Amino acid sequence: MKKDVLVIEDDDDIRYLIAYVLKKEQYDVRVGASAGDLSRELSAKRPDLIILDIMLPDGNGVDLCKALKEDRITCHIPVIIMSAHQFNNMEEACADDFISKPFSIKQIVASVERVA
Amino acid sequence: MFFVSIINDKAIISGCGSELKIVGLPVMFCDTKCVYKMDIQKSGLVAEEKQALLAAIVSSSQDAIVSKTLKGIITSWNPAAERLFGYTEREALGKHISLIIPEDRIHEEDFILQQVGRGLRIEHFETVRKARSGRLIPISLTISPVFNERQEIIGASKIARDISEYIAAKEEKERLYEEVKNLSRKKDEFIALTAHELKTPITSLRGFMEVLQMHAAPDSMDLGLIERCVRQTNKLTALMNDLLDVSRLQIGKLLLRCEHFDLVAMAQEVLAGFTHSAKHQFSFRNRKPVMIYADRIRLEQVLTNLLNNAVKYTPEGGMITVKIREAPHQVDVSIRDEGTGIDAEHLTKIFDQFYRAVDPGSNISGLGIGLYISKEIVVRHGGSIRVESRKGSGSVFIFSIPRQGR
Repeated sequence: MKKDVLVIEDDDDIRYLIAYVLKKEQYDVRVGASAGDLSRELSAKRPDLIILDIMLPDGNGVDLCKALKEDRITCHIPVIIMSAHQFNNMEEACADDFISKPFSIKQIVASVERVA
Repeated sequence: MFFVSIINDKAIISGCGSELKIVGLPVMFCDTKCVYKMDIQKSGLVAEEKQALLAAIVSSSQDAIVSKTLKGIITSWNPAAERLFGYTEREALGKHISLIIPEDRIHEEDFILQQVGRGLRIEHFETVRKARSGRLIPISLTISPVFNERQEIIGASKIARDISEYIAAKEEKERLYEEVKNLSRKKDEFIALTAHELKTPITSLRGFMEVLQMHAAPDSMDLGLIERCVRQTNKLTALMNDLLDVSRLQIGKLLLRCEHFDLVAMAQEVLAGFTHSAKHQFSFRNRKPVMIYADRIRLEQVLTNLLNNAVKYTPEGGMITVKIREAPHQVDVSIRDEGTGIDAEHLTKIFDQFYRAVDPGSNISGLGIGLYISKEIVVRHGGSIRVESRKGSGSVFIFSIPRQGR
């Protein structure tokens, strides 16, 4: 069965790129651009993996990731954090992996394969 | 302007200016360090003449000279004091010195009188005094005890120099320093922000190029064009990373992640990236592993920077030689090119931030930060970097890294 990946990224092009690449790799991909979208998509259906940007217009990916990991219902969903900043507190955010921008699509695919 | 003090019957006059006219005794001042000493005792002058001489010195002084009793009552007031504080001699004589001391500095007088009472001099005491108009004047005070014939202290003489201009210049210097610091901080913020903002578009551009590269038919012209685009995007990424490194260096956030690795294997990998496409010849003969403890990625960056420079400045077909030499406690890596060489005037500045050894209008591109970043990386490892070069005969860059980290 295809795995369901939820991509939350506010930049249209990067969101499109990740969705495109993962669909080609035979994943089911849902997308959102904000913390609000994340919450809506989660209540609709629990994904197998979340790719989460840190800087969202209505929230911070690190805080969102922590909240997901503290929630009994979502704590088992792997999360990949994505940021243009140098990131040193992956453990604090409880993320399963971290991708630094600019990344290559090979890195995205490798990270998803490793974590999903 | 000149300075006068009278100690043990000696009039010591120091200062600059063209000429000081003292009744019957013209004295020339040539430079600021000139000190004119006159032994009044041995000068053969009679008491009246001595008095006239001292009076003339005091009266022609550009600095305010005031004397007072140990209780602070003003007993003399020269013309410069009149000009500086706005009170005539007649108005000032007999008044308490608090006439010119701002209320919040009255306590200074207690300290001054205490020192003078113990026979001590106070030199270059920077404070503020108040003129008749209410204007506060920054001054430098020199205060000496005044002795009578029995060597008893009977008062104090003060020389007050108006240092308004000096203080204003000092404040202006501090203001300019703060402004420069502020501008420099803004520059760093701007670099960090620009580099950061570039990341998002570069990320998607690079990603879309990679997708196109995967889909283009092999051997097609499209693939060649796309590959060129990818190369340009990679250059853009490298430039952006350099800018980010500069801003990290400025705020001390460039951290090293050290590990044990083979420097020779690392150099081979870096060179492999150059040899397949370059128009130059490369020589690297080290084979035996050289283990060091350092940040592998950062040292790769240093070697890549130095090789990029060697390629940039060496004519096509020229030889670039890399050598790794082991010393007991350090490892030296040298990169020799057959390039244009570097003028002696540039050699000391070449590792400075934004310094470029070529004219801004020249067709050799670059931001002038590669060598700066390289130097900073090497120095943060506890190592050093240097260059040996002569215009027209190539350059050799050598960096040394301690084997066991710092």
